[in-house]
Amino acid sequence: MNSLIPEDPVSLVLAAEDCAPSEFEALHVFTPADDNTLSKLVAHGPVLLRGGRGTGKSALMIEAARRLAPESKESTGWGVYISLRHLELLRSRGDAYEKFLCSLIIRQLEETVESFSSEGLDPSVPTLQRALTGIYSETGKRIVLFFDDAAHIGREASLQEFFDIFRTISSSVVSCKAAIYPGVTKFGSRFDVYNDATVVDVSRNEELPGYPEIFSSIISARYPTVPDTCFSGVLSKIAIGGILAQSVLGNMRAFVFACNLLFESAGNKPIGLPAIQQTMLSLSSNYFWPLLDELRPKLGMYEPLIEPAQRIATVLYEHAAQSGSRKSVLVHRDVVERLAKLFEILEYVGFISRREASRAMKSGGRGARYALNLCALLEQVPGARLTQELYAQWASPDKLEPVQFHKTGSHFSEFKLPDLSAEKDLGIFQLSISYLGKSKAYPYGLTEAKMQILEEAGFSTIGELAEASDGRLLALPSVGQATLQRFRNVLGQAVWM
Amino acid sequence: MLVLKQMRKLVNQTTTCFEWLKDQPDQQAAFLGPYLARSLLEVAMSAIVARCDPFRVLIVREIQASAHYSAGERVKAALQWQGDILPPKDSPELWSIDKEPEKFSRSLLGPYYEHLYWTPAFQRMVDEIEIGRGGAWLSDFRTWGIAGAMKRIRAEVGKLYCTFSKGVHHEILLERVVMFDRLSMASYAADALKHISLIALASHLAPQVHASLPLDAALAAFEKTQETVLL
Repeated sequence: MNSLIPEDPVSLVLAAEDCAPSEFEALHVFTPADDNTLSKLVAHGPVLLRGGRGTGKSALMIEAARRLAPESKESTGWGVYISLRHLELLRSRGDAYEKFLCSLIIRQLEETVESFSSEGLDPSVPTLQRALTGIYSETGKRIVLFFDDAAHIGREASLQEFFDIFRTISSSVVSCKAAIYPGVTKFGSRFDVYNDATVVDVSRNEELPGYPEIFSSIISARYPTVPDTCFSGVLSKIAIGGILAQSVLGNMRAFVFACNLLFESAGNKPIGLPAIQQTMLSLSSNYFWPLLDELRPKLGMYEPLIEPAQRIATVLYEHAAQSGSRKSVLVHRDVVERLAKLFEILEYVGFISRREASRAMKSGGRGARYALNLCALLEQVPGARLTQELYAQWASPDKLEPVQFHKTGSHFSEFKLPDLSAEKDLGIFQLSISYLGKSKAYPYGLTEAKMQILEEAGFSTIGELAEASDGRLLALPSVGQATLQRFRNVLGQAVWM
Repeated sequence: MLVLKQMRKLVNQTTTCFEWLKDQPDQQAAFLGPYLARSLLEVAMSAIVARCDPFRVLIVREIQASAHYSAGERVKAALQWQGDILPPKDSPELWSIDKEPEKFSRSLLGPYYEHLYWTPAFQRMVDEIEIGRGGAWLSDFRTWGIAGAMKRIRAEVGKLYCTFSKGVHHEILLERVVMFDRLSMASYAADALKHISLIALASHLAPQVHASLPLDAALAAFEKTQETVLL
């Protein structure tokens, strides 16, 4: 039906960093608001790009790099995109971390700047600084380093090293840009977030004018062959783009997932509220809730926080549904401060999105306002039905006060956090490789045939597979470059965020 | 009012020059961009100082009108970026009883203005302005938190001024067209306007500030500035 809904819909859901360069342009659409973020990324100066999972950080960084040399030959800067999805970076500290990170940067510089050779360079910060200055002197172009997956929520020990190096190599000709998550709060003692970088939040806010139109244009660009009949019913393309995007809090990956589900089930028929309802409920149970399970083994010392995060989400949604299905909540700042990590986890997986850090509460005091994921909210609405009235309420600008959770006497006042042990290795490495099979938690997982190849070769844990060299994997039967890349992509999604 | 009218004229002239600069070749844009951007920061912030603390600029005006004034001599009372706009350094104890009156910094973005003017004005900004108004700038501001907002504005404005100054003082021996290329200058200028506009909007919600506009008019001007920048 649609050339952009492939036989294996997984390829559309995979993250931008796993997308082949030749397909990147066709599969990614950037809005005027994205252009504003992109201008900060291509400009000189350090930037931290902060956003939850699937918000499009990687796509923005890759696109920014593409707008610089060598892709854009006229540009005054080199764009060097560096994925930091490497086991060594998660497991090393101090000098070992510095050495590995510097070698990664040098290797990527060599791939990006044709005239640059790394021969004879030892991977250290001073050498790297000299190399970067040398590239500027020789080519007359500044250098922009894009660090993707720079910070792992479950492994904070190496963050100090990373941000030290980020700060040290930034100069009048070198700008560093790093993608981080809302839960990343430890930057080391020498890095001042606001003085040493500009923080740019990647968030698409349904409260701003033009929001449905943006997502409608994304539908047009990514699904050009969806027939017009689909948009000829009570819901126009703009209305569908608006409600779907709002349902997933503007999360780009979830939006694509939602569109895939909706258009596959719609066929040529006009899309109405029942189809939207079905898509939303399916997303809630098959995408968002499983994401919390997927996240658990990646959290390291924060693993025990998954259960309380699930409970908090349930409380938020139940209460909002009982209070007129209001689509935002206002939580007293003392509660948010005390349970900060839980709210960060929920924000990371896309259950909530912070719209205001401080707003006056009726009971006195101030609180943080979060927009709610409408898919999870719909599940809690009596009958789980998206009626005309409910659609009209959700699709219009929010006139209802957010549901308020006060400091005392609210559902959270008695909420206790579990004790957290000191830094520990990520649980994901000890899990069986069967965990990487396609499932609700891993919609992009490996097929049974590929799992069998690995099992027959004696791989039993994800850690073993992660440590295997390319050579060892390529020596397996029926494994060529494409399958190797598939293994690496799935591993990347499983281990990183 | 004469002082404010003069400052308004300066702001308009600077923005007109920016418009002109857009069509100039890269070399000229990289050479003049930092001058104009720094001028815009200085004059816009000085205009807000004039509304917050008329005494301060009236003194300067009287000195300039006096017979003692000479364009060739430094005026010690002239408005200074470091001091009138940015605080000399953070004062750990704001309300010490041992502090001399002159030690209470009157920097526009300093801790005393923050406590007395900006924090209450920021609260009104997020509580009284309808959600959805104010565009992406106000939407972004709402996520910063009142307590950390001024620290963030101070840091960003300080970094921008420092960057522009490097293009003004010729201390940078690197190629200007690289350091101040169009992509970077456009981003810097947009950031400068964003932070100026946020402080300006807040100033109309601080009851101590003179020549305030009704909130609707201030918000409309804020939105119009933003649309111009994001076009």
